[in-house]
Amino acid sequence: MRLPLRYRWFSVVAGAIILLIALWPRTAKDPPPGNSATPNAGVGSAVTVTVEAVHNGPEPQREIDTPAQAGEKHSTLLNEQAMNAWYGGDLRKAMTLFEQAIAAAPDDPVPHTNYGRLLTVMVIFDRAVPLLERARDLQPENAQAWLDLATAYQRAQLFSKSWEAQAQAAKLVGAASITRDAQGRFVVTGTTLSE
Amino acid sequence: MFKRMFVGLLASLFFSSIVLAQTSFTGKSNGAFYNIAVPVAWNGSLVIWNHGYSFNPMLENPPDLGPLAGLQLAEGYAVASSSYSQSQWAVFKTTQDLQHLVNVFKEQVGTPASIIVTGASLGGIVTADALENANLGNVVGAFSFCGALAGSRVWDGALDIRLTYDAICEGVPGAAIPGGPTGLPSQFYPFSEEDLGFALQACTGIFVPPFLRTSDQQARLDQLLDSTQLPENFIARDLGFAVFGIADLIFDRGKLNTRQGMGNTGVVYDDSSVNADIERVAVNQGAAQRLSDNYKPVGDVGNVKIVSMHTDKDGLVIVENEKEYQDVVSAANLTVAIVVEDIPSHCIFNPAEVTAGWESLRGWLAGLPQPNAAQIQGTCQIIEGAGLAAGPCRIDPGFVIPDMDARIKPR
Repeated sequence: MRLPLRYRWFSVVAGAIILLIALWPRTAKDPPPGNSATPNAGVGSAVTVTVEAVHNGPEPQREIDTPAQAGEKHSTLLNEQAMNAWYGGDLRKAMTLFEQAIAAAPDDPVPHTNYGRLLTVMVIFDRAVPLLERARDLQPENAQAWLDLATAYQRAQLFSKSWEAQAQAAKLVGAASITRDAQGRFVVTGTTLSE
Repeated sequence: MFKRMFVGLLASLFFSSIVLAQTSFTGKSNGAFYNIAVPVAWNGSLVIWNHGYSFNPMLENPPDLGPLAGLQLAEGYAVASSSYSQSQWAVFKTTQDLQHLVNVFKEQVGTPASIIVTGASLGGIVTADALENANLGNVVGAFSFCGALAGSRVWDGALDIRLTYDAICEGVPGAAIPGGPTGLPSQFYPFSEEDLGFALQACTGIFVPPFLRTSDQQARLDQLLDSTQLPENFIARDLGFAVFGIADLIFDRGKLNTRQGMGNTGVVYDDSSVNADIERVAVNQGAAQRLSDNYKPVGDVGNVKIVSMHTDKDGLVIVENEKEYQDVVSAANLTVAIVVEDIPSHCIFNPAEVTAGWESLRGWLAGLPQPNAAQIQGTCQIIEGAGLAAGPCRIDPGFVIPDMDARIKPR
């Protein structure tokens, strides 16, 4: 069946629009970083998605963050802001930002560690300990994670647990590599902790 | 005899790292959780472990058995602990708590031939109180480390810290802590640990590096450190006790029941401006007596053999506690060993040091002469040298313990 001539221009235009939509690069649909995070995505397990535009021949590949990656970037930024707030003396703001950083990337040990350390020096042990235990679980081969926990346990007067945590750290780096900083916290020799 | 014991220690330390068969009993009795572990080859003796200060009710369920439990079980001792039925300064009820614990042990396991009472920090005064008042049975020995052995007098020190803070930080925006001599205005007053941190930061800048503090903050911090003679890394912890601990102590109906048990009328503080500005509060004599009864040791320990250890720069339970205890307990009953540390700590002993203290007590109970600090240091070095527990060994036999009056003014 042939369309009447007066409709042919319409079908050509419609076809062009459909083709344009199909081939339109997806840049506009990129999620903004940090809008969502995959709670169970482990650090380093994110998959890189590549999109190759075909409408105008091959283009250089560009990377798009997965939700987990976006969450990590957002968390990193929030963590930095939290540290700045801490060092600026605004502890209330620092605590809020650390909590947001952890919410953005629940599997990132860094904000857990920093927030746990802040709460430890603020003597809020019942909240510091779970954070530092989580940080330890996320990086069990990190001796400093065990030592942060040992400090919090010690100050919470959980002496047996502190000894166990110190022993675990000693297994990783050797007892001779464990010392205490000027604030009295257990550290791997050469490590400088935030105040 | 020491050689035989040392061989036994070698074997025990080896086996303490292996999970040995044992029977455990956990539960709740008379308002406190208990935890009891009995090795298959039970030697008939019971070790009681008394934990330290906990701001939270009930601590852990089941309560921890102490840092030496693995070794003690391997040596054949049964080990038991109570969560205590009270939180914070729990000494008002710990003699009953330990009596209930021993009764449970008797029901579940049998009557122990002998009992050794041990504890750290608050657990030290719980131990001292138990020796004098709990009538637990055949108590033969006690081992305390970083123990609050001066007892209720430590709360005079807490009151001084609380009111010194107010004197120094008064008028600083954001630094006010309500309540003064009662810690807080009431037991459950809405002032959190966070709020305390914010206030302390506003006054002293203590939670940021020194170069980021204002000169006023640094000056106030310096004055606070000088006045209280506390190490910087202890100020927040001590103030926490002085705020929340005092409020609990004074307002809890099972403790001082809203009465002021500590006062500072007539006390002359070394810092003249603090002395001029500090709030003065009169003590309620009835409350002071109740606090002293719960507990200030009097030295009535019978034939119990006691080893006590402390770190010299402890900023929470100061080393002077040991001197107070020496003043009331016969030297024939008490050996004190002081660990000299580089950085102030509360209760950070190396495993070899605490193990040496425990083994020295065991040797004494087994018939060896009373150990002295030098011998405990020697034992520690043997344990460390054999690779049985981590050192280094830092006990200074020549350490002279200062008098408490220089840190906490008598009143």
